[in-house]
Amino acid sequence: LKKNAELYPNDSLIREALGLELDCVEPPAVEKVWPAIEATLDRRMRNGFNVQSSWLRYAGIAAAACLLIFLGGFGLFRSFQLSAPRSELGADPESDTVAIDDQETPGVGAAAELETAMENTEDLDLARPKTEELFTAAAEEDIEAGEKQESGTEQDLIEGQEPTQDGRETVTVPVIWPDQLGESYLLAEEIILPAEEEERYKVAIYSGQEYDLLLVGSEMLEENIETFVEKIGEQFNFPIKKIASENGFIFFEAGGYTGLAFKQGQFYRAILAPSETAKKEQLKEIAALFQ
Amino acid sequence: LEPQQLAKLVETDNNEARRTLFEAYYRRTFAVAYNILRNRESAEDITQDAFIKAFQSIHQLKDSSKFGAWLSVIASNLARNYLKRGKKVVYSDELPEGYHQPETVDTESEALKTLEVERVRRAIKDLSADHYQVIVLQFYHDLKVDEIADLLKISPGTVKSRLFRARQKLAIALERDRDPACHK
Repeated sequence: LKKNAELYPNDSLIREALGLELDCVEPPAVEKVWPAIEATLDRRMRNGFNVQSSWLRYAGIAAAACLLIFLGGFGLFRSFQLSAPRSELGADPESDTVAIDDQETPGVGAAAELETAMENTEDLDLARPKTEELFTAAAEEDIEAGEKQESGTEQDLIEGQEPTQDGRETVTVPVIWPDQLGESYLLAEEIILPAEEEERYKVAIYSGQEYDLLLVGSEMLEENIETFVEKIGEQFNFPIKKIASENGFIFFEAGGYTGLAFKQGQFYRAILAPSETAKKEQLKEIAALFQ
Repeated sequence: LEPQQLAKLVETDNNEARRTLFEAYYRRTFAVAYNILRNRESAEDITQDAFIKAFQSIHQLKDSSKFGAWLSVIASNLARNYLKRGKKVVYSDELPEGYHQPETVDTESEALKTLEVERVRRAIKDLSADHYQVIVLQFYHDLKVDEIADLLKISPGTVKSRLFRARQKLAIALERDRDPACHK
């Protein structure tokens, strides 16, 4: 114990070393950095004033409304794309044989375009899909992964695929989740958990300061939200202990941890916080981002 | 800055006050960012963003005497996010231009102490961003655990845990530094 105590640096030593560490760094000249800060602040304040005090504010609201209508229409179009047969999407009926041979699935092309766009603009947040588009994109990725598995042999396993402890396979997929959820959670990892009967659950792990979050989505049409929650419990090997309904949200405990399930469109989603300190309100705030 | 002067400057929030605050806290904010990123260009960008963010949300600061610590938190959070987002940072072991080396000392005991401080300093450099953040807030800004928790929006238990682990890592690094052959 005494030896361990000796190893720990005392407070004054840390204080002195830290002071030295911070004071030793010589920053660039003030005149090099300050003008950029001043200019940015001035520009933002000026823009803020204009928007708040003139007709531009109403123009902004109108533009936002147009954007929402456009995004809504686009979302409906994408839903139609996923559910409609190929022949309804303008494909030549005579080429149906070819389409069956290459087993092209509607929506996969769009997912590839999305990936390409994201790769080309890696550093631009603008290239990230909107939150409401996430699970649509997730579904497309699942279809793509499913195709690869169906057409491949054991030796042709998808690159990055690793067996889990219980024999299931996880597939590493390209980034399609947002970098950040709210202010506190950063995207850390994403996986697909193939389940029995060809169901797939797409999971993203977000790391936070206090605890991490697991976001789970599926494009399968479950009977009801309770069934969905039970299946998630099975997927994570967490027995579901308690289910309570509150303002459209279903709270559950999986393995002693708090979870929240909700409906987005016709599909169910869930957020699981593997921490004892997670609060319902925090989970509700995150869920609200997807609605 | 004296607390009263600082409070006045924070409250005033005009261009002149902002410039004074910038000059007073620029060096240490840059140092915090630099010590996490180890890259001068990235640290300069983060420092700039930290001041912009701070000045834009200065009305959210509950206690003006904590301006320096608050700014450190903003800068270290930005630097940490920068690293987590996978931005390419070219690490450099070389001392940056203008980096001061500690002055030489005369007596043997002072030389030994300087050596010890230098070893702790090297160990601090190896801390993760999370651990570095709490160490700076406790030992540089002299904040208590509750105050750190309040600033970082985490629980006091998490702060204590990070402080404990940070000290543990410092101890390990110092032990390794004492006997480098054992850890090769």
